[in-house]
Amino acid sequence: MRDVLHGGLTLAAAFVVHAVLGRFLATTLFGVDSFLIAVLLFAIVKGDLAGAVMGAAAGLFADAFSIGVFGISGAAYIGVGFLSGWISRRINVLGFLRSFVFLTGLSILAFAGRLTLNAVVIGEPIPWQRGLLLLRPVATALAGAAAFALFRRFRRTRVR
Amino acid sequence: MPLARPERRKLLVVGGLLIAQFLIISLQVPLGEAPSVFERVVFFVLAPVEGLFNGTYGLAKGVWNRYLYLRDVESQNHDLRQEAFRLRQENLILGRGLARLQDREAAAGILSTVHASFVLASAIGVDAVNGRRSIVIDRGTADGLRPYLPVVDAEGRLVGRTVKPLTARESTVELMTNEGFSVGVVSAKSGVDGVLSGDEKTGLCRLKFIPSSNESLEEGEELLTSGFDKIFPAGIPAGTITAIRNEPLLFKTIEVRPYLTIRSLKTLAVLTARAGEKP
Repeated sequence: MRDVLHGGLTLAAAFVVHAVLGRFLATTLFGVDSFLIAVLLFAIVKGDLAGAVMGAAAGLFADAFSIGVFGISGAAYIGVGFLSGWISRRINVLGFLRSFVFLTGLSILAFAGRLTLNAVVIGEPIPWQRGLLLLRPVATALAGAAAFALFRRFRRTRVR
Repeated sequence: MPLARPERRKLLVVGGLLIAQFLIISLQVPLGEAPSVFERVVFFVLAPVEGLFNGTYGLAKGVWNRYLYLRDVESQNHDLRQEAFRLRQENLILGRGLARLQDREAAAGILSTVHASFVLASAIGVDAVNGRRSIVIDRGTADGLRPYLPVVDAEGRLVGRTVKPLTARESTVELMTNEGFSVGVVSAKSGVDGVLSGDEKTGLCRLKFIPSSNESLEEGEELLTSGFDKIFPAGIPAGTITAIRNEPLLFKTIEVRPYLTIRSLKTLAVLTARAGEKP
């Protein structure tokens, strides 16, 4: 029950970040996928299964705010959510640099998964946007690593 | 080696989730652009929250600008900008309308609809998956918006069109750079008409269905909406031709740089009445 509540709160936080960033980023090209960050961090903290479930939920929310095919983000996020939880139990991803590298790899995987599904389902070409597409997973991972560092600091303070 | 029970359970749950997502995709694909019920419900519930953030931001900004920083000057400036925008739009519509008019009676008909023919809006959200596809604006059905209305920027240049889902206070706008976007256009100089589509691959647009035998189009030519699609009124500037390639195909490959820029999304106008139609 507590995990469900935490999941709901994480999803709500992701939505708030999406809404706040949208207010500013609507006039810029820089994009951070807050829903993907929520999935990856939740999976690191709660484990692989929780990550997969969070991936399904966050994917549906992300697709509701996009005019693409509904369900594609969910399918991609389930995979990376599960992997994020599974791998993070086997290697150390706690430091800022380590978590950044880890999140970059999984963000690239998530974006690649979504683009592949888009190409398979509706034959949509990859929107390279003159290379700016490659910036999005890195920006997402950077924001995710910063959020994770903040979360760890907050938890340490609470434990004390 | 057989998997332990917890591992098997995990894989079953993940497999089940994936199958559920694929079922959702299978149900959605035949619907095409139409949003699913869940999508509509989520948008209906959460889009106002985006509006709330926008409102809170606007409130804080208003307090700062009106009472702390250059009191009164900012609001006057804002009003003047709005007025200038309205006048520019009015001028643009009148100029184009008059150029096509045959007699004074028809001019009077257009003049009477000019003032109520558009709604000013601002972008409050960007597409969660790809920023080139769509945005969310702070005007909805309560402001007279409905699906498939043309959206232009402060200079009266094409941005996109409203699409479902819409709520009372928010609407989704499909940008002209979206892959599925299409609009009838005509070149201002040579008068050649074709269909302009979005190209997410490059972030630009493509002019389609121009036969390879056509030699009258040139690079740098401006494209205006033709009005043939019955969605966009004629005469809205859409972009300029940047490259024309002759390939051994039936049609030319023509690259178009749209006037739409991310900066131009700050102030938008939704045209609520089509040419000759009452708002």
